Amino acid sequence: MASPILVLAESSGEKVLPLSLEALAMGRKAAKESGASLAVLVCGKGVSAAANELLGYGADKVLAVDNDLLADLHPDLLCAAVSQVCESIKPGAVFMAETLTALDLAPRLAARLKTGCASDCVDVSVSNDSGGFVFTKPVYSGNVMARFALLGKPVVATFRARAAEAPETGEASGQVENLDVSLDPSLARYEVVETVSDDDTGGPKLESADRIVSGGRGMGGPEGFTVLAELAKALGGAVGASRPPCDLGWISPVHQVGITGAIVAPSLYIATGISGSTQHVAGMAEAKVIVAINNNEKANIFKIADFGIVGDWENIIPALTKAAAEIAG
Amino acid sequence: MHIVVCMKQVPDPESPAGSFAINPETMRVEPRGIPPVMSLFDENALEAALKMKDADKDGTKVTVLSAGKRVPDAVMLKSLAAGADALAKIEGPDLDNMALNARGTAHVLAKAIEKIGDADLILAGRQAADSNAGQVGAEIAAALDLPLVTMARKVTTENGSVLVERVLADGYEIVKAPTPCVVVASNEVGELRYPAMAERRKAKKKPVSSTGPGDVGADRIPEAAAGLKGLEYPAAKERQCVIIPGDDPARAAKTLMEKLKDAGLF
Ligand SMILES: Cc1cc2nc3c(=O)[nH]c(=O)nc-3n(C[C@H](O)[C@H](O)[C@H](O)COP(=O)(O)OP(=O)(O)OC[C@H]3O[C@@H](n4cnc5c(N)ncnc54)[C@H](O)[C@@H]3O)c2cc1C
Ligand SMILES: Nc1ncnc2c1ncn2[C@@H]1O[C@H](COP(=O)(O)O)[C@@H](O)[C@H]1O
Repeated sequence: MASPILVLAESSGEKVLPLSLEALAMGRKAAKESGASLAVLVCGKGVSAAANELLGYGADKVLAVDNDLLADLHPDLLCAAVSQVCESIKPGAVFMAETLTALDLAPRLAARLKTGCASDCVDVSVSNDSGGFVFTKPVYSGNVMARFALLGKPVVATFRARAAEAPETGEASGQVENLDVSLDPSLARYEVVETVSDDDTGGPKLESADRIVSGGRGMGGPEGFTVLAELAKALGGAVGASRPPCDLGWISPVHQVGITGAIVAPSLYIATGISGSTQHVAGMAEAKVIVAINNNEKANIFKIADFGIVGDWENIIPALTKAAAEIAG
Repeated sequence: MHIVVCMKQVPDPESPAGSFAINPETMRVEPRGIPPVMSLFDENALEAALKMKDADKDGTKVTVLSAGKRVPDAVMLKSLAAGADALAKIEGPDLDNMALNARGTAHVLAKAIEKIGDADLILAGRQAADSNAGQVGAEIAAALDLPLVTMARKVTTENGSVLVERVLADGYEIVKAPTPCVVVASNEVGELRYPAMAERRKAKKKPVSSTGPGDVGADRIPEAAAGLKGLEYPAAKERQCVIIPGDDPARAAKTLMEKLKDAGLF
C-alpha cells in the first residue's frame, strides 16, 4: 500500500479556501495515479465547519487539528502541529496551495523533516521508473519549466493557483477525525505584537474579480493608480499591479499580479504601463480578453494581448473610464 | 548590530525568453549572452539591511555573503556601492550547479555564518531568481537552529530584538524576534537604492574575502533532496493583437469598448 497523500487545507472564516480545493484536486489526481489514499487536514482554532465542508470532496479521510494555540496560525506552532500529524499518519507527500501561509510552512516543514520540497508547482505525475511523484515547476523566473523527483518522506509541494480545477462538491460522507497534537506556547520562537489590515480597495478581491485593471511602472506614481481605480470602478472590477508599483509603495502589495503575486484569470484584463515581463504574464495569461495600453508600440505586452492602444495612459484611461461608464453603467 | 545578507548571483531573469537555452544532454539551462546579476529579492534583503544601517550608521555593519562556483566581484560590487561594508565569497568547484540543492547551499552558508561568528541578523531573499525555490532561508534557520521570520516588508531593531513587519493576505503583522535570527525579505521592502558614482569608487576599496567551502568547515555538503527529470520551455502565450491608434483618445476608447462588446464582455 502506497503511503497516503496528505493535503493541507486552509480556511478563511468558516469556509475552505478555493485554492486549497485546487490543491485537493491535485492530491486526488496524484492519489489516483499512484494508488495512494488521500487524506485532507485542516488546522486552526474552531475549524469544525471547514472540516465538515471537506467531507464533500471525496477524500478517504478528513482530519482536523483544533487547538487554541493555533488561533493565529503562528508558523512555529503550525509547523509543529503538521509535523506531529505527519509522524502519526506517515504520508508519502504533503500538498498545499501556494498561499502566504504555505510560502512559510512548506520550506519550514521540509527543513524540519529533512525532506525534499518544491514550491509553486503547476503539475504532478507519477514516474514510470521509480513510482515516485514528479513535480513540474517554473525555474529561471518562469523562463524554463523543470520536472523534479523529490527525496524523503513526506515530500512537500505547493501548487500554484489555477494549476488544477477545484473539484465539485458532492455528498458529504464519512466523519471528521479529530487529532490531538501537543503544543506549547514556548514553541513559538517569536512573538506577534500587532496585526494591521491595509486592504484599501473596498472593491472586489483580485482573485475573484471578473474584470481587472492593472498598472505598472509606467503609471509613474500613486496618483496614476487613483485614475486606474476610477476605470476599475466604472467596469465593476478590481485594481491590479505589476511588481514595481508594489515595491515602490504606490499601491498595497495585495494587488500584485504575477508569479510572486496573484495568479488571475478574469474575463477582462487591462494592462496599463506594463511592459509584459515573463513574470507578470505568467500571472494573467489565462485571462479571456487582454487589453494592453502602452506608449511603446514595441512593448512585449502587445504580443500577448488581444487589443492594444498605443498611447499615453494619462490620455487613454480617462477616455476609457468615460466610455466604460456609458457602456457598462 | 552585525547583519549578514545572503546574496546570490543569477542570470538576469528579465532577459528575453530566448536567452535561457536548455541543453537536454547535460540537463542544464545555459544562459546565452546575458550577464549575471544580483538576485532581485536579495537586493530587497540588502535594502532592508541598509535601511537599518541608515537608522544607526555607526552601530550597524552589513556583510554580504555569497556562495557559488565563481562569484565575480563585478556583479557584487553594486552591493558594496549601495552601502554594504564587506563582501564574503565562498567559491569552489563543489558549488557548481547547486541551485537544486537548497539544503546543501544552506549548509555552506550556515557554516560561513558560524565562521563570521558575531552575526545578529541573517537576511535572505524570498526566492532566488534561478531556483525559484524559496527554501534556503528556512534551511539556514534550521541548520543554525535560529528563529525564522518570513515575508518581511520592514525590519527594525528594538533593545537587541528585531521588529519585523510580515506581509499577510490583507495587511501585515508586526512580530518581535530575539537575535540572532533569520529574516526572509520580500519585495515590499522596496528596491535597492541606486549608488552614486562616488560610492562606486569607494566600493572598490571595501574588504572582499574569498574562501572555499572547506575553509569555513563545510567539507561534507548534504546531497540534494531534488533530482531533475526534465527541462522544457513554457508554452507560448502569444496572441494576435488588434492595435488601436491612441492619438484620438476618445475615439480609441470608443472603438475598444465596441470591440470588447463584440467579444461578449458587456
Ligand atoms: C523571481 C521574480 C519574481 C517576479 N515576480 C513578479 C510578479 O509577480 N509580478 C510582476 O509584475 N513582476 C514580477 N517580477 C518583476 C518582473 O521581472 C518585471 O521587472 C516587472 O514585471 C516589470 O514591471 P512593469 O512592466 O510595470 O515595468 P517596466 O518593465 O519598467 O515597464 C513599464 C512600461 O510602461 C510603459 N510606459 C511608461 N510610461 C507610460 C505612459 N505614460 N503611458 C503608457 N505606458 C507607459 C513603458 O513603455 C513600459 O513598457 C519578478 C521578477 C523576478 C526576478
Ligand atoms: N548561493 C547562494 N549564495 C548566497 N545566498 C544564497 C545562495 N542561494 C540562495 N541564497 C539565499 O537564499 C534565498 C532563497 O534561495 P532559494 O531557496 O534558492 O530560492 C536567496 O534569495 C538568497 O538570499
